[in-house]
Amino acid sequence: MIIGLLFMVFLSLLMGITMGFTFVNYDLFGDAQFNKTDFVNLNLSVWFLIIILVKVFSPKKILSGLEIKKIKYLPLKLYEIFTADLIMGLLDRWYIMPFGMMIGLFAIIGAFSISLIFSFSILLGILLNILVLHIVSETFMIITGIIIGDFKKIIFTVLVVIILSFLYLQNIDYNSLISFMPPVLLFQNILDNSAGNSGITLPTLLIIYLSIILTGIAAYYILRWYEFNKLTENLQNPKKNSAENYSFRSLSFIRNISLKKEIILIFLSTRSRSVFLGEIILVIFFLFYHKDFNLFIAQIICAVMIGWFGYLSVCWGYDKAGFGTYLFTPIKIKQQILAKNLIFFLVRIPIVVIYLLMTAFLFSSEYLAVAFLLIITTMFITTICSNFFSMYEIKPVETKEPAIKMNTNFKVKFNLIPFALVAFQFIILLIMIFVFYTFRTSAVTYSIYIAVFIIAILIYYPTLKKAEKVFQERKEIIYKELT
Amino acid sequence: MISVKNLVKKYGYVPSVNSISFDVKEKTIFGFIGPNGAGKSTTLNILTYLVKPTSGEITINDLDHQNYSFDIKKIIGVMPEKLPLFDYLTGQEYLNYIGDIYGLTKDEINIRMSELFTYLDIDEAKNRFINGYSQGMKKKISFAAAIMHNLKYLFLDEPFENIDPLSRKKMKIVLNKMKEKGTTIFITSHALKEVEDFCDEVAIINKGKIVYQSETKDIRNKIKNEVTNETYQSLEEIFLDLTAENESITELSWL
Repeated sequence: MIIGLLFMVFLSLLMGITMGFTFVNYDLFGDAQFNKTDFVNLNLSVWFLIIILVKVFSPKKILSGLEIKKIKYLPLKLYEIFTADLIMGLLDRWYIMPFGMMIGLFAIIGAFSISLIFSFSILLGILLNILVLHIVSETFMIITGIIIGDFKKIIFTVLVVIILSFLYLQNIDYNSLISFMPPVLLFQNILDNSAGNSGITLPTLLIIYLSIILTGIAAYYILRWYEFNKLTENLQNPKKNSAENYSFRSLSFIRNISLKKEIILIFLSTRSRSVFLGEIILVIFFLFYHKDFNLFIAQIICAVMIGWFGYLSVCWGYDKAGFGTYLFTPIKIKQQILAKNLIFFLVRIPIVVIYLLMTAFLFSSEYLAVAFLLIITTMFITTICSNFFSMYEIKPVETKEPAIKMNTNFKVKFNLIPFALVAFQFIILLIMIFVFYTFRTSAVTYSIYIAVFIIAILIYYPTLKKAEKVFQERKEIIYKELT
Repeated sequence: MISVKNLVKKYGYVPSVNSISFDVKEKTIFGFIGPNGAGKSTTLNILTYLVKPTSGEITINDLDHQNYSFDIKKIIGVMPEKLPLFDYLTGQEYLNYIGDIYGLTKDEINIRMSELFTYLDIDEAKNRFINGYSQGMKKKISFAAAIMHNLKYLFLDEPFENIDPLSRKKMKIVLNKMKEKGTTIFITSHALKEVEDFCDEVAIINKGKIVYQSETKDIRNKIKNEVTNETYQSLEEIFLDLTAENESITELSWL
């Protein structure tokens, strides 16, 4: 986590420096000479989305530490707790990113001594954006919390998003869509004003922003209140937690009880649901970015790999104390690992089919075979690596906790084996993508792909046996970590 | 029979179990007692494959513990200290899963499961996630899982802790019946009175070493003072004598 944070700070600093140069160019030379607004817009949007996504799965500062039972008896009014929570949220370490950006930005603006009004507008713009970002991410977080609380609602929401995407968004181009993003709206107009183009004036922008912030705050309180009531209702009616509410339990085709156990654990974990939901969002995202097949296929491979790895790399963590069962019962560990691999394959197969359909319809059926081989090989390689990785990087997965858990005590551990496993799968896949870029859909590509695919299948079973051996060696450590 | 010879378990350089040896006879209830951190649970965990021993020899049912692990696992039932429950399975699903692992038929699973739920008074909770169970209910479901298959050896770590008196009585009835049918039962416990009344044989472990082993019927005959020919009156007396030999009880300054 600390490495990720440092990386993001560094990236934000660079982004600030880049933006600083762009603003300097605008202020000193005007729009005509340096047209880099698209670059700034894209950077801002990505930065904005990254923070929202990271924040959505972060725990709340106050409310995560308080149970609903305790909140009811606190000598405080609900709105006071919610307000404190909202303000404390600003202390989130991820907000170091906007500050990193500000430092980079002002270093450059200061170095080139551009106009005071312009500098002031940019400073105000960043502060307003942090506020909007905070409100949006906090509100998003509650919505996600409410949605993820119920499996059916996820399906429903995803379906609604897909239908809306097809009905309304397909005719809107990228530029007009991105212009509605709050940070872009602000900076675009500051830049336009500075370059002498007609844009929304600073006071009007302030009013727009304050309206956005106030609306956001109102939405935040309403959602918090709704969430509180929902949790209180659940508390009063424990039957809501009963297994009968989960319709997927009646899937009759899962005959083996071990597979049934795995599917239950997968779907009840926030982590798995987040991976699953993330992939659905990526599918929708890729629908709008399908101009370049090279990029498209690289994105899909990354998505498959991350999704697969996201679950399987911590597969023992789902069992927690139940892990002990594998040690004293006459269960064949090889079968248990196979069950874990197989069930995830069954769960993920619809997404793989969607990727393949997208390849065929958005590009050409010519690419279908190559995409299939790439995806299926990725699955095998990632599965093989994950089976080992999961025994070295052990982490109990909580079902009711956020997918990304902030740890206040950073312990940077470096273990060569997990690192080598991650590096290995990346290298193999990079080679495969390189082969595709070089030889396209020629016989060379197919030959290499089929060869890698066959090797992956052939080594799967022997590696399963090896994984069983590693399990026997490390079972005590895993048990200790999980219980 | 369970036979343990020179069993050692070290964590780093510190021995948790320090070269212990004992035998547990067939069709008996064996009580393994000792103060906190004495090595009771570690010994049980080693016997049940949860922890690897550093050295020593173990045989269960005349099978070597290390080389015949799969065969031994088929005939043992275990309820360890850290209950091996999957939080988000229901009680029914968990017992189904366990029954399936031990190769019971669907009918066998259903009959035994239904009887166990009723007998242990957790019938109402069978369709709820284990995560929502009380500690006592978790213990009961874990106990049910440990005894539901056709076992020859049963290992229970603090089985009666957090259990209500009625269920405790019911559990003892079941265990006695299992003993009569040929099951050997290994129990760790802190409840000395219970062990004395319930177990056929008892061993006391202190600081990783076995300091006393005897049949419970002989406990009251053990000579306490050779001069006066005084005998011990209970297991508790022996326990305190052996485990708190050099311990002084300090007083709390504010009380």
